[in-house]
Amino acid sequence: MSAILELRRLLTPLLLVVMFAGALWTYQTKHYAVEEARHVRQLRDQIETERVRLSMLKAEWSELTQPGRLQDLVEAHPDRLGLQPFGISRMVRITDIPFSPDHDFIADVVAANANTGLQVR
Amino acid sequence: MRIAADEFGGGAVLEPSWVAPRPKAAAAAADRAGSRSRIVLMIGLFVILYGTICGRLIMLGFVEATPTIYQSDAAAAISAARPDLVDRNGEILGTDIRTASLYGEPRRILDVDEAAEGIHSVLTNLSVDWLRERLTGTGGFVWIQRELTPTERDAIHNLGIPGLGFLPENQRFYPGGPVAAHIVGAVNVDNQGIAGIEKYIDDQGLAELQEFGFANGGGLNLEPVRLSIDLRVQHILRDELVSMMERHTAEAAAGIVFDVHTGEIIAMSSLPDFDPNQPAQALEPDRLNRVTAGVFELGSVFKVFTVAMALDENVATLDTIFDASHPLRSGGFVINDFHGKNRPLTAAEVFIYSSNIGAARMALAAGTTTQQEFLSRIGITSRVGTELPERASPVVPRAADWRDLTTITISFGHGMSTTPMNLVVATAALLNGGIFLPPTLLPRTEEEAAALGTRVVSEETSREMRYLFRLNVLEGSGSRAEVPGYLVGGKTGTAEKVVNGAYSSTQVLNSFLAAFPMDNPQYVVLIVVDDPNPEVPGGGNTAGYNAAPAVANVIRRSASILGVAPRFTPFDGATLAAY
Repeated sequence: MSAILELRRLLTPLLLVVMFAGALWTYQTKHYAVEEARHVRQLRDQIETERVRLSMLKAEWSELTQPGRLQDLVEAHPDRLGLQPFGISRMVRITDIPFSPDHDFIADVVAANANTGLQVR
Repeated sequence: MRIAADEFGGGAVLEPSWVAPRPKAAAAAADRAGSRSRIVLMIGLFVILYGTICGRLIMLGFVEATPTIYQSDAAAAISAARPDLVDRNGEILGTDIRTASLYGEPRRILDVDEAAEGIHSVLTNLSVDWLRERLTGTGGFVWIQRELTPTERDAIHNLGIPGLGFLPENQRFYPGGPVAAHIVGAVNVDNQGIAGIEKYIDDQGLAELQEFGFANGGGLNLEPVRLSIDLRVQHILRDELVSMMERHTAEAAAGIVFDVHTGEIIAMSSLPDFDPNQPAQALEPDRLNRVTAGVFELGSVFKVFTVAMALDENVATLDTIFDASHPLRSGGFVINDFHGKNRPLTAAEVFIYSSNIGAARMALAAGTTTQQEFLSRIGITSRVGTELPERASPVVPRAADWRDLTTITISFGHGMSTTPMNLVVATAALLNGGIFLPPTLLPRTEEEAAALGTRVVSEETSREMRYLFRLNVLEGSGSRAEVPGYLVGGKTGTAEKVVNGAYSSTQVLNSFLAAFPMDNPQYVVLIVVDDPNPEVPGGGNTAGYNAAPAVANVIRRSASILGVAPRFTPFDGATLAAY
């Protein structure tokens, strides 16, 4: 009987301690969560900024490599670039080239390109 | 307290005096049972109450904090995000770039004069008076200027004026400018598609997404829309059309490169065109997409269909003789040949010499009903849809008005107007083995195409048509379209334009309808040029002089890009002598 009463008297301060600990823990967790949320938001903003920048750069790259622009540049600077369209007769299949009968060069090329995904036809 | 005591100490000991005496054991048991059930009830109620509160708290904890948008109206008004448009190789045709728009919150502005003058120092086109009026008052939000350049944005930001802010906006940018203008179309200031594929995308549901706020401000990453276009071939086609138009001071020109096995449009251009970065140009009436939205009497290229009909309906073989030695009279009109041979011609000769008389006799031999049925079977008389909203229906005479004379004129391409797209799609069907494929601007595999295709002519007819196309370049009117190594085949068309209600002998619409390589056609190329003039005074002005060389240039420059390897046979004159 008195043990129970004793326990009851102890219960209140015990609960108080538990409550303060709980409050502290809750506060810390919340603070931590807020910090994390801010961090996440910052990262998101950063990703968004980078994404926008990336799309700007892509658009610029695309503008700079337009076939029409390249053609104009090639035509405007023949002395410096020295580029011209290649003639059709310059285009052959590798199998059409008469290699030395002593050595199978085609096999070499096929082997060299085996890992690059290039198709030799 | 009594109840608590009762609970702790037991009812028998601390029973209050006012409780009526009862049989002791039974009363205590009943009492205990009653109070316990009340307590259980209370506990239950509290558990439910606090449980609800906790549950609600947890739910609230999971709700994402939505930042309150002060300018909710403005946020809804800013330009919505659109997916990128890319060609078949992933090259960008159209993309969003982020710009900033300047707004003010008048009630937060401390010194209106300072703010107005500050803004004016950067944006000189806005007057100080207008700014002062705009920024005075207690309003919560006013637009000042939309779509600033990054430099302007930074300059205003550095002024440090309170009460000014920026909202990000999406602006559509087409890096290629006019190169694929009629395909991509254009958007308005709110980034909504108003023409071309841009409008098609909106009609596919993007508009609804934007309306419900899912596609605003770039929060949602939209997948790029891939088209069947090849940007390099598209540039080559347009480049050749531009230089042909300059050489021959033509009024307009149009061209298509079409994959005969999949029905994909590889390139499509119509001149004069516009810069989609300045969408207002798109609405000028002269700038329509002539390939899908313009109908023309295309002239002699129609003999392709007349001959194919005769072959497929067993009206003639390639060697059947048609008498073209005399002009043909019908309904008070006289049908003549442009370069008359004045002798009987075989069906093959009718094709390569482009004999009107021969084609007319061929169509009469087949009969009007057969002609109507055949043209509708290969899709010439109905609208062929691409994804583009700009499309026109062919202008076909009504069946009741379709007399012998109609049959005759249609046999060589007059008396019926159709779009260049119709012509190309039907020709692809004649050359690819006889399968009609609806055209598309979106990528399509051969398997998908096979499921969509319908047979319209026999493989035998297709083989004979390939032979005739090739023969016409080797021996007929299309010789200037030859590109060594690519076995080009084609048919010329020189149609007299209707001027003031009569056919003009000086103003013509020329076309060259080609395919390559003719032993196994992969691509159909069509170039149409409206009202060209001879390059030099007295020079030729038929399709063989303008459209055919342009087609040859397009094929020469684009064949290797399209993956067609050149092949040299001894008969083509060129050999691999270099090796």
